[in-house]
Amino acid sequence: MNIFQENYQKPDLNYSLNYGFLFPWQFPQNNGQDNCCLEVKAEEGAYSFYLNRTILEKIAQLKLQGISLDIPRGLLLNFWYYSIFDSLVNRDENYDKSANIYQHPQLSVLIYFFLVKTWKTLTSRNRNKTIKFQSGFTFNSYYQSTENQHFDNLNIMMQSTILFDGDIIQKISQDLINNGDASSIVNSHYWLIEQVTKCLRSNLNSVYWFVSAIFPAAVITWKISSGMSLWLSILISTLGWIIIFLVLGILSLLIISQLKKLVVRIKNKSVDKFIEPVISWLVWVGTNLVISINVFSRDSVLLIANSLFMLLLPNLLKYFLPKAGKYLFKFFMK
Amino acid sequence: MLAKDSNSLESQPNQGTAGRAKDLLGKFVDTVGVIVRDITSLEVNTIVVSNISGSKFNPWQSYYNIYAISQPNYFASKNIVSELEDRYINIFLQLEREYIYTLLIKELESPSPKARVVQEYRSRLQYIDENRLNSDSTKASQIVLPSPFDQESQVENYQKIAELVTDDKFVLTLRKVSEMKAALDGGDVASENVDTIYAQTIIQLDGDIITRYHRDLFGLKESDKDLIMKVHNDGVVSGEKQWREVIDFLINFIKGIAS
Repeated sequence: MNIFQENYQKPDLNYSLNYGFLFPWQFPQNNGQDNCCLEVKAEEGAYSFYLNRTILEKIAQLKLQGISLDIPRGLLLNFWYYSIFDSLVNRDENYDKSANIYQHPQLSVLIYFFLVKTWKTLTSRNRNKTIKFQSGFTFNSYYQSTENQHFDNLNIMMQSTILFDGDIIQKISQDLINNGDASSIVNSHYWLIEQVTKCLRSNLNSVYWFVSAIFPAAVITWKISSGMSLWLSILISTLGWIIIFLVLGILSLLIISQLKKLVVRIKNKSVDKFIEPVISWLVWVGTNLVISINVFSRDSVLLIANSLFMLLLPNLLKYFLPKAGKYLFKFFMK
Repeated sequence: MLAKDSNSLESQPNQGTAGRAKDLLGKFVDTVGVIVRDITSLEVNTIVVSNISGSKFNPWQSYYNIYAISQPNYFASKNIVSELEDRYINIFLQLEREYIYTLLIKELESPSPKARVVQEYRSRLQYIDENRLNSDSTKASQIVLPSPFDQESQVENYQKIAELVTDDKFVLTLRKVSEMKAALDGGDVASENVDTIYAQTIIQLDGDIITRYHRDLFGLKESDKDLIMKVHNDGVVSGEKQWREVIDFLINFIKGIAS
């Protein structure tokens, strides 16, 4: 065997979690303009932007107007997950081969995926599989100069590696220097990274939502393993709550996205910041009223009480869930 | 850090889910702590390469590939010209240096540090400073990093490497040097004409900013030079901002839990 092959001998491994996701990043629409959508590929700690001329123009415009973007929720989720975990250290021999890429995953799929992944990490019995944390992020920009170029054949034009200890490496390819759009590609590349990192921090409170969704699983096993039967009932109710919560959440997300599309079609412009929370709230009320009426239709007092409770619940949850997430966290660290 | 990791591995052979979860969170806080404590400067490097590799960072593989540099015949088998050898050797020695620092700290923090051992590490560090590899048979010329190629003590060495690739500080160095190696590999190694770090800016915490440009930059076409300068200058501004956002996120995340 030639030891100088760019390959390494693996120790004992039988574990593969090599996944990637492709997210569509919708840019706000202007009147009479085509839909503009950027594809972002997210893998463990590595993010790739697939640029083309339309996107470059759009970004230049947005930059000029000083508009910042909301990044897709799925991407944000991915970002949070991988700013903390780097997956397992020991890897599959196929590591460098292309990952399984899931196109345009639903948020619920991602939540499920990360839950399973965290679960596997926590319950892994193999001592060799140590958990490691992320050491940095890599951002790649690909550029499609002509429309008939396939994504797979593109070369990376620019790569930024941001290591957490303060080392930043910007690589630019010779192709970029020879490209006529070089300057716009550079601008877009930096602008997109900025949008992503900005969102990471400004949505900090929602991280606790995410964390609090992940950690009940650990709490449950913890309590089961300590063999208390009292916890069994709590376990069942917690599980029930999680399932109900997820189902309701996914249902409302689905309805919200449909409603948004409808509003866009009617008003012919993007949903503004004011209408969005109104829609989410209305949907929440709608779904819950249906449930309340079905469950409590015989008792009018309970029906009204429950409906009122449901109306207030989103605000209560908004207040309490981040706190609950925090306490769960503290609980672990003691 | 290293000592702590090995302890936790030994003392909890059958730790359960809860133990792992607890361990995980504790380690996460440690990691951020280590990173934040050791920052003295921010360094932005701008490199022009003929081919950017999109493969993700894998500590095991990077370690293997960097260790390979120290093997006899490495340069011949890869057709690397002699002008580049020093730069490859330097990459390997940077990693070795980081490892010796870890060992040195471990030794000094142990209950009874041995002067002999410390002296050995010191002489090895001095040797490394001369950027030489295996040129004589003295003790100082011997490589300290555990070898993944050694057939005899393979298990033992793999255990050591496994420990290393979970050490946050070591991994950061490993990642940086493997980026540098990738930049070297990305060029035409058979010719002298290699990818160069055209610009480097170091922002020190006390406020000093140092920017260095490679001499070759000024020999380029005017438009190319301007583009590289732009990439670098924008990269410094935006890189600093992005890095701060990420660190802010990590710190606030922990602060949020603690408050």
